[in-house]
Amino acid sequence: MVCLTAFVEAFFNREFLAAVLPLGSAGVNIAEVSPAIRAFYVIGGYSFGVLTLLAPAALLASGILKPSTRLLATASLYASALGAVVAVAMDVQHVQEGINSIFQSSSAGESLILLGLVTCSVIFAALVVLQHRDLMGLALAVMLLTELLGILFLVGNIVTANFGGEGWSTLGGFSAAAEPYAGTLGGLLFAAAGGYRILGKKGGIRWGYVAALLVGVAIEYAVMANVFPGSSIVLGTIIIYDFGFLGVTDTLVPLVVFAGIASFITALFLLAMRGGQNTTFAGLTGLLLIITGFVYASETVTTYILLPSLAAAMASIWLANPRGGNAPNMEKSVRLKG
Amino acid sequence: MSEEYKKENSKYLRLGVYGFIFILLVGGLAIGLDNALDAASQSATTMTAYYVPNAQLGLGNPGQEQYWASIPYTTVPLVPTVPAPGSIAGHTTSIQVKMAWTYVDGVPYIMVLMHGVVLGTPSEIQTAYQNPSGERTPQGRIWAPFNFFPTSNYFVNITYSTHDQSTTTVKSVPISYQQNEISYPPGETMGNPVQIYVTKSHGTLTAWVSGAIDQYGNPLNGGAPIQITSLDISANIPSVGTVDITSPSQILSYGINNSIWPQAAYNLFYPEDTGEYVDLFHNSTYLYPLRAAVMWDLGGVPNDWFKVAYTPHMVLGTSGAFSAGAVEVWHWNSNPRSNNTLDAGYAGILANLPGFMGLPGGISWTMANYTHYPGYKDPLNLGYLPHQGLVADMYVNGSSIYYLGGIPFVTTFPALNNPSITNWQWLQGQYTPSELWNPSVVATGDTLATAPNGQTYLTLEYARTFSTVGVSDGQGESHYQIQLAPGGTYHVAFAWFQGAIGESVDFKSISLWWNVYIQPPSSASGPLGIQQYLGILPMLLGLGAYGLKRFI
Repeated sequence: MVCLTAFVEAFFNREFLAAVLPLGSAGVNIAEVSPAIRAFYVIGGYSFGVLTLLAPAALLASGILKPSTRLLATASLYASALGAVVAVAMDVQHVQEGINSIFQSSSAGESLILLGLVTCSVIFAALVVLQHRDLMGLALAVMLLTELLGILFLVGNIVTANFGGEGWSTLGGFSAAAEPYAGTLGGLLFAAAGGYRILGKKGGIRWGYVAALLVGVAIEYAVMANVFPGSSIVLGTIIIYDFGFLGVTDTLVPLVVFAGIASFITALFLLAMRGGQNTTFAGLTGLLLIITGFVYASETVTTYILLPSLAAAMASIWLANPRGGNAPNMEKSVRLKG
Repeated sequence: MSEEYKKENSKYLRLGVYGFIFILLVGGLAIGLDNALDAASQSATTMTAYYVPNAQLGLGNPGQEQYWASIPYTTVPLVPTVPAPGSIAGHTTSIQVKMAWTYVDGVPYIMVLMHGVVLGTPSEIQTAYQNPSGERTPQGRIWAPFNFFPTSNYFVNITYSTHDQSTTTVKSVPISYQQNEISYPPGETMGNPVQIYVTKSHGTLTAWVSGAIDQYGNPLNGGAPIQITSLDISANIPSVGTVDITSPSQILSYGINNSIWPQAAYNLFYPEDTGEYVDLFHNSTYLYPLRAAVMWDLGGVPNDWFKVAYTPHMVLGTSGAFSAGAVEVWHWNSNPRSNNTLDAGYAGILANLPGFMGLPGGISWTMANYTHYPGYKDPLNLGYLPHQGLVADMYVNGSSIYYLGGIPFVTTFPALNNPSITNWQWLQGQYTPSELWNPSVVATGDTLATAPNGQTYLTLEYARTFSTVGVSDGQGESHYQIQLAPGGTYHVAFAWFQGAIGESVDFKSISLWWNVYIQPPSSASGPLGIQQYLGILPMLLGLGAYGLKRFI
């Protein structure tokens, strides 16, 4: 549900519609068409509202209701849950102090507490998945590292703006520059790890996977090769301006897009192949990281900040289910449901 | 119908109703949240413009005044404007920015300091800094051979053949045709100024046109005057009225000999075509100026947008239109707007603005001719400072970039200026500097410095009064400019062009939105009181303890 909402939000948000669609190239005056695309703004805004509700709710549920025996996984879940509480408190304060003030109502301290908790949950989750000694564990760890780089950018700027010391901002700048490299690497590793599992599955699903990848790559090639005039610019613009991905240069654009397409298709097939809880959670974690974490890593918005934490929580839960089988708690939940 | 079937039906109905109610509840909550909350924080990151009592402006050595040393630089990551393979844009990964403000005789001034790397060899950088070229497409065509002039009945079509350019026919271009076919942005048509005049030889009157260009911007007939063989102009001539001009004698009788007219553009390169390019023509000697820009949000977009993934972005394939809302841009370029008097086109306080595309009778005056109205409080007298450079002050909205104080055919975008000057007066140069809006109320200073490792850096300082109310004596210029106040927070974005390696026009690196907080004089600390978060600490501790208990 969170994945779906985040996906809809990303593609119907105002920025995507107002800045990314090639309306200018089509000779359309943006000011004139704004009223016509207002309905889409409502869809984007609605999705954002649902996301604002779902993100803390899901985190609280995963953190408090989920029993686990693993130290790091539990620590990650509780850090996520605490992050959700702080985020909700910040949102409430925001409403109290003036919802539409140009400046944020929450303090630098609050922002740093939230970011600190999210950082903890992400670091713990990264350590958790690294204990899972296979390619999927490494892929998720690198994807989580991308989140950390985005968070570090925010932390650096908040510290410099409020407490001085330009070294923090410089560090934030380096983090932003490194983001697309880590994101591309993580996405490709995820696609490789997930693809290995999907291709190992008998039946038509692996052919469907290969076909989906080929179609995805063919479309990307056509777009990047400007088969449709101006399309390469539009796609690159989406990556940077809709997804808020910093540090991207022109040569990186095709790689980032390829990693995004491949990992997105892989995550969907991991979910579709019904390969047990382990595979499903890996797919869900990957999907969350691709859609949310990659997308919003540079935004200081509580809703967006919580999404990497949610992905980290998913990763922690994933480890609680050893490879190849259902963990006892999952069996319990299945029995209860039945 | 069996009981079991009915039971199933009733179950589905119940589930459907519950589901519907659930969707309504979540939907209502979500819309409410979106409208009322949006986020607890902002998507733009924040930097502070620190209050510095009695700060001095040192435009000859930007950033060297002592107070700058105590203000931290904020690293601002940049992204390419045209993110595509082979794009010339996006060579700057980040720049550094700091801001301060001070009072001078009770009038507040903002100072913005930008510092960033300049790419290119020393010789390329020097060329870009002092002797840059005009932009060309990768195929070598002039990027923008035609310029903007208000849509009007003065536009004429000048025909030519590739074989013989010594004669031409000149006809009016109907306004309806301009509006339907060639005008962009709305109200503006692309054109090129030409001069029409009449000579008398052996009792015969002959009409001529000079300054005409072909569709690529190259002078027709080798730049020599072209004889007009057929004339059909229908236009409104002040003090004469709307007339049809079909003979050279009418030009004399109406008193419009040597008058300037806009030659309508041929349809080969309009603003929407720019969206198809990812590169510009350049080599080691054909380079573009170094440029930088500070962009201030002027509104027109809900503040919510800045909190939820709203980025500043030009709409590709336009004459610089902005994705949403309106902004003011302080656009600096190294030539002619830097403070270096050795620049080929130095336009500082002592130099002439360029003439009217080289035509005789064009305007020519210094910046100092512009009137400094008493209603505009500016004790530093920006625009008249030693070592001062200028900015191109731009207003941008959903249709185009506009030059504030711009002059048609002198500045290269549509102009916003004194609304009482008519199109005919603009064409004929029938106005004086004192009537025009001040084109640059922002003073700049810049230096290029090479570090020991050989890397060149540009340091650039902007200074302006917080308020520009009264700057054009109430004609409205200040409505298009950012008005600042102590304690206020404003959305701002930055741009950096590597002209010495070929970046220009829409090919550059830009930042996402930032907030600038103007620190009030009474505030000793930053904008965010750290004490605010103490209230939620007990709740955090409680939850932490609960979590620890569960964990152990």
